[in-house]
This record gives sequence, structure tokens and C-alpha cells, in this order.
Amino acid sequence: MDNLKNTEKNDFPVADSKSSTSLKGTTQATDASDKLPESNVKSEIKSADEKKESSRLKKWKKRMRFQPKNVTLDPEKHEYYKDLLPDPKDDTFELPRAVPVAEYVEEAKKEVKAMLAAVKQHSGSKTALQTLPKHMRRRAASHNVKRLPIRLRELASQQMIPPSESSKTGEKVCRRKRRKKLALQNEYAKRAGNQGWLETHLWHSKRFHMTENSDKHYQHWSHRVSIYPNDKSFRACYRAVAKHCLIQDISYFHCVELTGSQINVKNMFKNMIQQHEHSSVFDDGVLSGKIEAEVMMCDLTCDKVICPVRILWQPKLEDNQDTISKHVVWCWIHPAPYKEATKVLEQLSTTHGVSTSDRTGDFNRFRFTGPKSSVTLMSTLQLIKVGEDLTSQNSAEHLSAKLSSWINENKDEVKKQQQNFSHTLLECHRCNFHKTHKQLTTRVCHGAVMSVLVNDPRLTLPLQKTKPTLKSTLSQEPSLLDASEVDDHEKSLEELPLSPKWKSEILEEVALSRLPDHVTSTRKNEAKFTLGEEKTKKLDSLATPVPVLLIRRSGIASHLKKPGFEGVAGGTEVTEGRSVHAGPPEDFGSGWDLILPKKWGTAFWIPFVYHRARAGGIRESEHSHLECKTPFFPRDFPDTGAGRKWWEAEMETNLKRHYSKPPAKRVNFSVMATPFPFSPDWDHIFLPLDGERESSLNVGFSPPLKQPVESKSELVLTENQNFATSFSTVTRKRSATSSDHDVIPSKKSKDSDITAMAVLRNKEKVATLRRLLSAGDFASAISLLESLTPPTLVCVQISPINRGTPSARAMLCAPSSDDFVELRREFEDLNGEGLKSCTGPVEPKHWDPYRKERKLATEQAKKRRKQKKKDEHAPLQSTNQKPHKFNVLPTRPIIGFVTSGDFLFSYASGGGVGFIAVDHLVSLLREQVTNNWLMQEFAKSAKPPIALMRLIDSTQYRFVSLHPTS
Amino acid sequence: MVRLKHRYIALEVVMSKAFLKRNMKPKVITGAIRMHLNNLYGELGSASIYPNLSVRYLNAHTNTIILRVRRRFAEILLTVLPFVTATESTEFKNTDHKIFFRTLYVSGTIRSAQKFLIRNKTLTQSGCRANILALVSVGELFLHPSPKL
Repeated sequence: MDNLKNTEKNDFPVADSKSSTSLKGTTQATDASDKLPESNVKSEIKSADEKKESSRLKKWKKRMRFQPKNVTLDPEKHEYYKDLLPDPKDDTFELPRAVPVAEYVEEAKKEVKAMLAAVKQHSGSKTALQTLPKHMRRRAASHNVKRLPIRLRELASQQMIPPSESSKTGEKVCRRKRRKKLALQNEYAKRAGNQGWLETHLWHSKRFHMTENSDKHYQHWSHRVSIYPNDKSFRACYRAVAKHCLIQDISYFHCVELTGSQINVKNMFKNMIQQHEHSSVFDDGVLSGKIEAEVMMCDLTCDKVICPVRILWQPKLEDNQDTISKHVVWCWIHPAPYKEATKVLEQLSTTHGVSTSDRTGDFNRFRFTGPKSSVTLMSTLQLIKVGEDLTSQNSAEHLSAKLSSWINENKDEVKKQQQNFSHTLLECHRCNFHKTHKQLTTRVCHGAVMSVLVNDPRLTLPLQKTKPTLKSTLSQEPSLLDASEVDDHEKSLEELPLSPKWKSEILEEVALSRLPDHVTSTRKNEAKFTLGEEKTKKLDSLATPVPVLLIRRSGIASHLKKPGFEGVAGGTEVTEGRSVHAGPPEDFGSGWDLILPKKWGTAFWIPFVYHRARAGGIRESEHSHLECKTPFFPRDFPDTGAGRKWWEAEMETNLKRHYSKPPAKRVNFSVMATPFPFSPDWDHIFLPLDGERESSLNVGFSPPLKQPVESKSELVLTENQNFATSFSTVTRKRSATSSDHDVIPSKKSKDSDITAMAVLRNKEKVATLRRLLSAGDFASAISLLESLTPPTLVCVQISPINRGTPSARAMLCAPSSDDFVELRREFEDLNGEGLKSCTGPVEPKHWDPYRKERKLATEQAKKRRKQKKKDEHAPLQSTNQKPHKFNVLPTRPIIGFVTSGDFLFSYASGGGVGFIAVDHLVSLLREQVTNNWLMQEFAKSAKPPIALMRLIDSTQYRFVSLHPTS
Repeated sequence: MVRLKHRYIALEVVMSKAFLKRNMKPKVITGAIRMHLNNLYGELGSASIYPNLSVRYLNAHTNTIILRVRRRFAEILLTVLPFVTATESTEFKNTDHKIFFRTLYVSGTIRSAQKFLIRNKTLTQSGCRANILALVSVGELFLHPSPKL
């Protein structure tokens, strides 16, 4: 074309429409920055606050989104002619020979189009009606478009379409509809599936703090569990345990069913339970299914403890112990170590020819604690009448055929069981409350199992919350009284707890036979206005037999106070006139476990609550264990995998809490000489007291956040300078690990140590140790302790001799001989008050080794901030180092840690549970045996071994006496 | 509520052949205006107008610009515009870098300025549409060159 040929003489560049469109995007982008208002440009220079800027830019862009964009020419396309010119600076050209009108018209057309779009666009947040001046607005125009001027009609009709029609995906039903019961139920059913809700979840979630799935403590629990009630009920829950009845839903425990011949299952148990506990598992009562055994489960080598397991055998009528018949065993396992435990179970079951299956969802398990739990159970659980023929009596369709046929078959058994039930509960209640029975110990041993058929408890649900008393229950149900007078107690106890519960097909039917809540409540209301026989008939038509299992639990610390265990240190013999503050009574925390079929959870839960059972969560069981100073799983089991996970989670939360504070508000643990403020370090206490300890105390760093590699290496260097050169090997090791982004540098070594670490769990040994210590036979106690293979920890009860409240992570330290001299001086000071005026030693302030580093870091940060102003693209850097441990050793060497502790109501003082290394315990005893004053005079107030305890954020040591426990 | 009121000025840029269209950018235009502002109204004038002066729309193909100023200073700007004859800066000292503005329209909102532009463009287009289309269909269009400025 001529046009192109003449380009050399054409200084009006020909606009290529294709190229201009393709490059439009780039030109627009450059224009956006050009178009920024002046004020914006200024702010860009002034403040580097990018956020503010970006928000302003966003607003600007939003405002300008409908405005036509600038159109500029891109230089590359239009400078081609320069090369063609003889001299680019020469300004003598010929006049243009052609004007590219076509291009001009094209561009003008585009421009007009853009303008039209901008003009037509209804901008701003006003509705069509609002664009009109006020005097022209009409109320009716809001729903009739034709009331508006024509020019606004199109716009208005667009705006009048409700949002639900315009966007079908975001369909929103009104709240009232959403909150209707059926909709809610569907919604909850949907949610319950993937969140691991228990049946009572809704009831709890309204009233309790629930575990979060994001919380590391409960991450592996697979259920959401209630932790503690929302109302102010800490003390009330304690009172419920001590004097009334506390109810907890512990259905989150996993139930694993083992099926196989008795010998095979027995062999399997032999491999996963330690030798010293075999007697409790292979007891005749346990094997016949009368007693639920509670033992510690171990891994395949029987070295490493996994978790406590409750083992329940299915009772068998035929008494053949042979190999052929299949036996069923239920193992109840805590959810935290569940994966670990099932792995072991699966491995063992394949080798022993036993089949396993998870039956977690099939049962509900409620825990009743407190002396009044028997009477609560008695009044809530109404026995089903089996005198007449059940099936013929009521033709209700909801009843399961299989269950009723089972009842008909085993009528006698059922009757005996019911007698047994009411009799045993009565006896348990009387043991607690009746003077004449008080001296008697119950024959109902720990783990005794009862099976019983009860009626739907919703039918006897009181209108108001009522406290059950024995009198009222007996007056309502005179049949109970008959049962209590049955002489052949012994016989009834011999009864096997046969239950239809063991048959899964019956269980399925029972679950289905639950009437909906509205059916029971309406028919109950109808029955209210009828009298006499009519009423009973009406209620009988609703009666639904539910097989339940009841398992007795004796007090939490009862295993320590059995005959042969007597004379617990602390001078608290169980007597009539015992002090209120002498610790929990023997049966503290005793009660029942109720196992229900699935779907019946709420049907039983709410009646129990109406019978004034106080509901509690995990915190309550934790605290009642603490009251007895017994370890609670998984918190006080640091040698197990679950315990380790717990303390890792604890470490994480504590770190987070500590470092979320500004540096000036943090406790300076270096000055306090608290090397392990976030979680106990068990490796440390196994180290010998001198030399090695210091070198081992290397400092762990959290993974550096956004920290460049160079500065990290700098940090390591500065550490090297700070710590003495003798630790160079350690630091080298650390620098290697820290470059691997390892959270805890010594993790690997820690793991290996923990596998080797063991806790003294042999109950007999602990009992003898307690006995020896309380009797003052220290020599044999020492020899017993020395016979244990190290590294071993001993679980100890911690009781401060006068003051101080232990809390988790507190350190147990070895007192120096000067401390005892000082103690004696204070104790014997005539002006003082004896034991009361015995304070402990005080830890002096220490030099903070991080101080220099920290100052350097802040200076660097300042510099960087300045640099950042100059160079905006410099990477964001942070010098925050978050050590997990602190590199300062206290003057009294650490020999153990407290894992849980609090103020205890039953002692009216602090108390806790902790662990101490055996070697240190032995050396403590050895040292104190030589101290005559301590052994003879002071032992009247506090029995040795005596150690020092110090909280993580305090410099005050307190004297505590330790008693081994398990 | 106090509202900042503006005046929007629609301009047509007439440029010498050597003032290449690629130079048509908001900063060049405002720079040219500023130079002349300084000459005519001194520091005060340029200080009162320049910070608030912005190019709201610019089209290098059709040589159209929409400027925005505060209403108070619109008249000053309007008096300055005819005096703008060349772009600023040493780069364009070449005599051929000459431009001048034809003020087309002054309005209170950008919307009415846009409306004006639509009217303007469509009118001129429709006026010569028949001719142009005829010529375009032929393939080439020769016009008399504009007189040298």
C-alpha cells in the first residue's frame, strides 16, 4: 500500500489498530499510576505505610472503574520512523502527504463508545429513586417502576430484582425457618458426622467449654469433649464429688471388641500387659465377666507403657474353659493413645488369631462419682416389670422382638439381676450414709459388673429438678424394699451379669426402639389426667426395656489404702473423728460407670440431670484425681506417647502465651534461673549433678520467622562467644540442627531417652515403698529403690510442709545441707511459731546471658528499620529468637518436676503430683538419714524425704515432703 | 456537607508535526501548563492550581483531554490555556515541539464533559461520514496538509 511505502516521509505515525488493541493492557497499567491524584502521590512519598496506600488505591480504582481509560501510544510502535530518518534531530521534513482518517475515525468511535458507557453507568451507592431530587420522589415508586421517569426505569427494574434470584448459589433462608426444630436437627445430624459429636454434644455445647479440634491437647481425640462448665462451678463440682453426685459423659473412650477363644485372648494379654499386673487381669472374677479389670497396656516388648485399659469379658453360662467357644472382650481405651494402642492390638491379634473391631459408637458410657450416685441411679433407673409376659402385655410396635424373646428366655436371670441391682445399690448407699453400716466395707469390689434391664427413664422424669433421697425412692418403689430384705445376698452377688448387650443384633434393635422425645412427652402428659389403672396402662404402653451395664468404681486412691498399705504418710489415719482437712476420705471419687446402648444417651442424660446430678467435664475428673494426689492420664504419664504429646502441646501453648507478651512484660526466666519454664525436661534430671548438666543445657530456638540465613548464622556465632568455649561441640551440634529448622534441637536424643525412661508403676513395689517410708525403715527403702533399673522416675505425691501451692512445671530441687541448718534454726526459734515460720531458701538473681544478644538485636532492628525506609524492597527481617530453654542453672540442682498441682480442698492446702528420678530420691534419703534432728524431731511434723519445690516464676523455695504413689 | 467543587475542561490538543503523539502523556501536558502558569501568575498561581490540576482523561489518537481543577481557580487556568504554546523541559527545546490547546467545553461534572465529547465527536463524524466512508472504501484518502504552525 502506498501508505506504508511513504512512511519515511510521514511523521504522523500510522496507528495500527490491531497492535494498539493488543497493547492496550500494558498502557492502561502504566496509566493507572499516572492518574493517581496528587495527594495520593504525596502520601506515597511521605509514609511507607503500604496498607493505607493500598486501601486508598483500591478506593480510587473502585471509583474510577467505570471511567474511560487513557489512551496513549506506545513508543516502540511509533519510533520506527526514527531509524528511517537521515538525521533524527533534523527538523526539516516535507509536509505530510496523507492523513490516516480511517484510523482516526476508528479511534474516535472507540472513544465515543467508552464515553457513552461512562455516562450511562449508574455510579455510586444510590438507588434509582435516590438519584431523583427529593420533590420528585414517590413512595410508591419503590415497588412500581412505572412511577419513575423513563430514563430511570431500566436501572430501577434491575435494582428491584431481589438478590436471592439474581444469585442462586447464595440462597438464604430466613433465620426463623432455619431455626425450626426439624431443620436444626438435620443440620446437626450433618455436622455431627464429621466433627465427632457425642450424643450429648448439643446439651454440653450449650453449657460447657468444649475441646477444639485445633487445640493440640485434644487434636487426636477424634471427639469433641466437654472440658468444664460455663457457670461458676469449680467448687460446686468438687462438692458434688465429695458429697453428692457428679455425672460425666465419657463416651469418648474407644471400645475395641476382641473375639477369640479364651486361651488366645489370654495369650494376647500376656504380651501386652506387664508381669506384675497379670494377677489382676487373669483373676477368676475378671475372666468370668463379673469384674472389669483396669491395667496398664504396654507395647509389644512390654517395656513401654501406652495407656490404662479397662478390660471386660463377656460372661458365659457354660463353664467350659476350653478353646473352642468364642469369647468376647471389650477393651476401653483412652482416645489420646488410641492409634498407638490399636496398632499393638492389631499386631497381637493377627499373631494370636483374635479378631478386633471398633465398637466406639455403639455405646454410651456415663460416669457417676460421689456418695449419692447410688441413690441417683436407683431413683432414675426404673426396673422393667418382667412378672407378666412382656410381649403379650403391650403390643407396642417399637419394642424389639429379639430383646423381648431374650427376656422371656432368661426370665429368672433377669429377675435375679434386678434384685441384685437394687440390693447392691442400697448396700452401697447405706455404707456411705447409715451409721450402722458405716464401719462395714462394701463387698462390692472395684470393677464389679452388674447387668440390668431398665425402663425408659424419661417416663419418670420429674417436672422439676428434685434431689433423690432414699426415702422417696423407696416410697415410690416398694419393690426395692423387698429386694433389700432378701437374705441371700451372697447368692445374688454370684449371679453372672448376663446381658443382651453382648449381642449386637439385639443392640441394633434396642437403638431403634427408642421413641422420639415428643411421643413420650405428649403421651406422658395425656396420662397425667387419667387416674389409677388407666394411668399405669398408658405409661406401660410406652415402657421400653433397655439393657444397661453398671460397673462399680471404688475410690480413686483406694488402691493405696488397701490393707497392707495402711499408715499413709502425712499422719492421716482413717478414724471416726478425722479432721476435715486430713485429705480425701478413702472412698473419694467412688461411684459407678453406666454403659448404655447407642441412641439412648440423651434419654438417660437429661433425667439424671433432673435428679440433681451435677454435670462435669474433663477438668472435674482431673481435679478429683489431684485431690487424691494420684496421676491422671495423660497429663501425669510423661513416659507414654500420649503424655509426651500432651506436654508438647503444653509447651507450644505456654510458649505462645509467653512470647505473645511484649518483651518488657515477660518474666525473665534467666534471671529467675528457671531453665525449663514451658515444659519439664526429663533428660535433664537424669544427668549427674555436676559438670555434664551445664554443658547439656543448650538453648533451643524456635524456627526463625522470616529470618534470612545470614543473620541466623550470626546468631549462632554470638552464642558461641557467649557460652564458654568448652561447649563448642554442643553449639556445633545445635547449629547443624537449627539450620534444619528443627524446633527442638535435641529432639532425637530426647526420643531415645524417653523410650528408655520408665516410671515405677509396680503397685506392690510402690506399696512396700510407702510402707517402709512411713515406718521409717529407710535403709530397706533405699535398697529397694536401688534395685530398680535406671533411668527410672518415681511418681510422688507432693505436700508442702507449711506453705506453697505446687503448680504444673514447678521444679523439685535437692536442698543443700545449709538449708536444713536454716530450717532447724527457724523451727526451733523461740520467738517464731515453729513449723509455721519455716520459710524456704531464696534463689539469688542470676545474670541473663541473653541480655547482650537482645540489645544487639534491638539495635540491629533499629538499623534495619532505617534501611527499610531507604530501600523499600529489602526483605522483612525479625530478630526475635524464642528460646525454649534458658541457659541458667539454679543453685539447688533440679531433681524432678511437678506435673500437676493446685490448691486442694480436702487438704485445705496445696498439693500435687510430680516425678523424681530414682537416683536423686536415693541420694535425698541417704543425706537425710544422717540428719538426726530431721529424722527424729522434725519427722513429727513432716516426714522425709523432704525436698525443695520452686514455681517457675518465683525465686522462693518451699519445703515439701514426698510420698511415692502410682 | 462541604464538597470540593471542580471544573472539568475538555480540550483539544493541536500540535506541530514534530510533537510526536507518543509524547502525549498526562505529565507532559500538566508540565506545559505549569510552565506558563509560572510565567503568568507567578508562584502563587502555580501553587494554587498545580496541586489540584489533574488530567482525567487523555486520548492520544483523538487528541482529546479532560482536565480537572478546583472551581475557584478554573478561570485562572482558562486564561492560561491559550498561552500554552510549547511543552516544558529542555528535551523539547526544539521549535517544532509546539502545541496549543483549544478549549472546547467547561463543565461542573465529568459526566457533562463526557456528554459534550460524545455530542462533539458524533456531530463532526456524521458531518463528514459520507465523504470519509466513500474515501475509505476507495482505500486511500489524501487531504491538504495543514499549514505549518
